Amino acid sequence: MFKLFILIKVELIKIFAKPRTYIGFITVGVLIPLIMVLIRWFGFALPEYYLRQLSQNFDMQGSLVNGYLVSYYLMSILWIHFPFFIILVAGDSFAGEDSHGTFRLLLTRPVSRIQVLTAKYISTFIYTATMVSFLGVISLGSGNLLLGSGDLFVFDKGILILSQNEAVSRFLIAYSLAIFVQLVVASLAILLSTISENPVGPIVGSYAVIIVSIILSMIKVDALRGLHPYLFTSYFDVFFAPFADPIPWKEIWGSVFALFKFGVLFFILSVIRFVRKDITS
Amino acid sequence: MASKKKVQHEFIIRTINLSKKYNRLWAVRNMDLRVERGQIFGFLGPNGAGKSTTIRMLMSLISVTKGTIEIYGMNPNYKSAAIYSRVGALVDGSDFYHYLSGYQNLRILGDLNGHITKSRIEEVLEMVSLTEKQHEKVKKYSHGMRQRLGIAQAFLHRPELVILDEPMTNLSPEGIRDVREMIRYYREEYGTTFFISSHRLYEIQQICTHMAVVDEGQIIVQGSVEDILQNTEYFITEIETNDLEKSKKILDESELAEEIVISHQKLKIHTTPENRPAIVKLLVENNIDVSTVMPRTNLEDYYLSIIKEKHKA
Repeated sequence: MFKLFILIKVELIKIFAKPRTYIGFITVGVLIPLIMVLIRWFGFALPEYYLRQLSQNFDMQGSLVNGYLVSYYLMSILWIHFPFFIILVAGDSFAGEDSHGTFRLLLTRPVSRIQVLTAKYISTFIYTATMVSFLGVISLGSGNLLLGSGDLFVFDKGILILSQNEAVSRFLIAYSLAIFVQLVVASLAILLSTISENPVGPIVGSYAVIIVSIILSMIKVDALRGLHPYLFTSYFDVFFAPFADPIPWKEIWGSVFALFKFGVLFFILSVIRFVRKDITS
Repeated sequence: MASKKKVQHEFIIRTINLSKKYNRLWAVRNMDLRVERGQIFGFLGPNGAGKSTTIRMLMSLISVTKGTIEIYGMNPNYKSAAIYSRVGALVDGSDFYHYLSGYQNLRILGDLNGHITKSRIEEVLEMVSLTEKQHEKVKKYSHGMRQRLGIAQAFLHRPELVILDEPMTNLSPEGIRDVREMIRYYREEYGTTFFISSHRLYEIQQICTHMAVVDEGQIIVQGSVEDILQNTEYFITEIETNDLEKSKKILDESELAEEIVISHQKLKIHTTPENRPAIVKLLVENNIDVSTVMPRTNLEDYYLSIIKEKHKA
């Protein structure tokens, strides 16, 4: 167990010593505040449909746009764009060692391959959780700072108005679920990383799998409906679920359990692959 | 005496029918290696002979197709941590985490080996003359510096067994000399056992006590360097005297030497190690001044001859 902690520490040192790890932090750290500044200067246009819906029911005064509303909309990047930052690091975890020949250093130490694999999973998960949390903090922080706070208007199957305090707790739940979703993305990238000997393969491969799966998940035709439960991306939108009233916990736990099963499957396949892998580089 | 005999037969590395097949090609076939405590075991063979494949199997980096491996009497498949905590290895070149410094690389590798102190890391860096460059990122290191760092990491935890795969690659003549001295020092000081592969024999022939020559995945010959060479034309004693011609004549008339040649201001004598004192005594008794007596093994010539013979066959 102690050896595992040492391995996790070593893996974290390696992750945070690589320049590529900071691509996500820099992008999020620059882009999100910039978006907030641009919205403050030029405004934020809500879709016409939502505004019509609102004006039918409310007497509109002032602006609905605040840090929470923009942060809510920015969560959409967690679908397709954000996984890139996770895959960039997770896809390199095994294939990077293989391509640089450093497995020869690591695996000739008194550590087992299962320990190495587990440590890489845990350290990548720590990076993933940090990255998603960073997005949340930057998004809500810069949003509130530049656009102010207030009630959150959620337009989904009607209009839901969440008080400021309620909005914060919903964001906490949503970002916790987003972390879980991104952990499954990381697991997929790690699995492909154990298969490949070059980090480009798992990075491109993971991204391709996610995009194809999202497309298949979104096509609501009968022929594909039977396939949806077997696509992990079908559960990706779980982080939007907390912005409903009441919170659909049953649906959320169902999605979390399904994602957990995918995560476990990816882990088991990684173990099978890595334990038997010949290190020839 | 009994305990000495017991120590002599303690196998540090033992393989039985060790084989590795890649697709249809046998990279290593039925290899029976025997390495005992305190030996400097030269694992010699041309490029592609199966040396690195064997070392990768010893270090559990690749699977074994057939046969068994025992290191310290244990199977690496079941006791890998117990075995590799006692082993230091440099396998097939020195690749490091290039975005970390030399010191940081040794720090994390030391952590994986157990508690390695800062002073120990500095000590091994000094041994390989990298003290001044220890805080530079490895990506700025030359090939030679990386190789020296690779050797340093193998010695980091003072292992009982050091496995070095082509350790002299990319090293300068001074670097090669330093590594030889390190190997000798660790063997004498700590009783470390060495298993060293090389295809360039002249680099390690001065330090090997035992050797195996491999070609096409099979062992051609194995044993102590002296035992293998003493009955061949490749085991000679070099003697420098004040009168080489007279010395040759005296020795020709004796039965102490089989063949005597004068070359490069020296007598080159084919004889057994036991006869050396008698030869010196005989020369001195005949008023010859003997300045040096040097046993020489021309391992490289022997190695080349058996490889050539095998290829002919």
